[in-house]
Amino acid sequence: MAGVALGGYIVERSLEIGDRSLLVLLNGLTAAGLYFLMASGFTLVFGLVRVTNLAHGGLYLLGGYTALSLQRMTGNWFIAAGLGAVATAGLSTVLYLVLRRVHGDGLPETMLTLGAAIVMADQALANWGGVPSDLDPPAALRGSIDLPGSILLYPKFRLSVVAMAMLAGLCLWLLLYRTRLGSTIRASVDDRDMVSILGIRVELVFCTVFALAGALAGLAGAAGGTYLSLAQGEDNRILLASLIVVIAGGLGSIGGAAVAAVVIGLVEAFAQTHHAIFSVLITFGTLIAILVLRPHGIFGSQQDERA
Amino acid sequence: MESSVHSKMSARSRALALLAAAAAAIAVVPALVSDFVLLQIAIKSLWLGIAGASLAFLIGQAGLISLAQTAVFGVSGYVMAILVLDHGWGEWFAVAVAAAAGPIAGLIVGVISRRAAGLYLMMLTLAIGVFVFFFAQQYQPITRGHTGFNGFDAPTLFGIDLNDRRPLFYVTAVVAVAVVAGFRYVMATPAGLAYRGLRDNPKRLQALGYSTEATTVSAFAVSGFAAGAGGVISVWYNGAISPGSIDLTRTIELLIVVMIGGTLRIEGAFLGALAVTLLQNYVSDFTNRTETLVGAVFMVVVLVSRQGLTGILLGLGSRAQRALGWVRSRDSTLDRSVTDDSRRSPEHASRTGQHAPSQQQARRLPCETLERDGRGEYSPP
Repeated sequence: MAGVALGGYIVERSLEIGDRSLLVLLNGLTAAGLYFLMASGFTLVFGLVRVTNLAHGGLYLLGGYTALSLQRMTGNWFIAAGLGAVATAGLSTVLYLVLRRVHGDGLPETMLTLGAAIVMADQALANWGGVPSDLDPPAALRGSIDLPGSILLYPKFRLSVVAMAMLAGLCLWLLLYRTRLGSTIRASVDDRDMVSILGIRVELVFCTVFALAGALAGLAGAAGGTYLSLAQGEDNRILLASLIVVIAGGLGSIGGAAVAAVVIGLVEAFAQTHHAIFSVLITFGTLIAILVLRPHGIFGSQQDERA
Repeated sequence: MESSVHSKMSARSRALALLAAAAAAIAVVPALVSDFVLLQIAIKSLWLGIAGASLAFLIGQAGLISLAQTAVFGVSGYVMAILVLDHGWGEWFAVAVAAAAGPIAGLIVGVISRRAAGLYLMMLTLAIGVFVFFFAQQYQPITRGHTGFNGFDAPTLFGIDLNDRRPLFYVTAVVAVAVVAGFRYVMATPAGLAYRGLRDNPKRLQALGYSTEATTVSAFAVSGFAAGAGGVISVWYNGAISPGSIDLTRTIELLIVVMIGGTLRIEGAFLGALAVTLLQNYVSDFTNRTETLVGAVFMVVVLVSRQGLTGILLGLGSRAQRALGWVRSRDSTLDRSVTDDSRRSPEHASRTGQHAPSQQQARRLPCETLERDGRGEYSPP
């Protein structure tokens, strides 16, 4: 409720200010697209395995860098991004195989992902260096387009990030609600033991979800590496942003992640435009306010916190 | 009655023996090691350990995994630097205010996150920590932004300049001993039992009439004393504080220190700080990938034992005791819980591995029943 009200307020303020409102809106939506790509995988893993995957930012960075190297080799953005996503899916699966070795309440697993995050960040630095670099957008999406009414020129690629996120969201929805695998995943979120008793290999389901989340993070890395840049520390920044989105939306809820991605993306874009110095403080302030009012996020329920 | 008096006496004499051992170690170390080791390893791991102890207390005693301890640490450091360098305060006045800022900052963190638990707490405190980091980085008029404060001189104490290695070592070591003693004291009080109740079974703690929120807040405030002390000494040591001293990497480093050390004992934090400091200093001779190694060691420690180096050492110790035939049945529970903790809940391991509250307390405080009552997995000796 608070988030929606806040989002409403921001849209309203943006409209008042007029000429910059569309820019803020589009920047916010682009950021929201990227955050959703990250947050959806993150929240899926959390809902299923009760692991806060703090290596998710590392997967983003490595996915982006892998795509960068592949693009330099093949010259094709889509092949590079696709293979980068495959690579991070593999890495994420390996991570799951390590996490399997501890059976805890989520905390030792989270610690392990923390260790993995540090190793990943250091390896990214070792292999790709500390100089910020970025991917070239694919030829078809280069340059800007005139928005209707020619009020604003906006980069095509940024718009396509929004489209990509929406497509990913649609695919996720189809997967989760229209396939057998999806119903197994949803059932595992609700009652892992019962699904296991029914003869389904839950481990395999978990493994798939980890791979899927890794692929989404890798894809986000390629997209983010194109319209932002890849650099040291970028993994932490994006991890924090997606953490904020996931927490604000309610852990484990993909719908919540989508709504929160838009809210946080808009708040951030608004703050960056109008209060640049305090932008991050405003974003984090929003999160803290949401959590103080609703400790389990906008869409989270008390039941989500199964100990 | 007699036995409880006896156990009290032996606990006191043990504490005195430990204190004497610590004093002897403090006196001897500067004579044994080179100046480089004293500065880069000994002092560094002591102040890192002090900060770590505050987190080890929160995690090990109250079960609160906080990622905001570096923020508390940073608040104290910044308060001192701001008061001295920007407002020209007397150095020891600034130290006093900064030391008080630690528990106050801890209190605020506690109040904000008093209702969260588990992973939610972790993420809420992460948000608070990052909030403080960005405040330091972006609010230039107060914090000088990105560069932070440089060229801070440590004060003089009774005419001795604390910028010198040895005096700084002695002061840091004394503070470290005081922090450990302070935490051990708190752990032995009814409040300490309430913290363990919060860790083991908050619902029952509440049913017994304790407020979990007040317990959480006070645990954060108590831990703030040590975090603040660590922050003050780190500024003396580094001569500087900047947003980089409290960023996410430092937060993770502190957590790694505590997890490598293990949370069974407060002292584990110093062991972890020593291990991490040694790794960071000596591995860089062989490879530039120090962070990879620290991360990998951390993962291995988590995989091998959830109780870190102290858990491994305690397990080895009680195994040796059993081999020598010294052991009584009570200690063997400790040994089992420490070495076999992978199959048990972490609460159980730390519950039984705790420095055992005396029987007398068990009779006095209803909350002690928490530690006896099982969920089917508690096997009495």
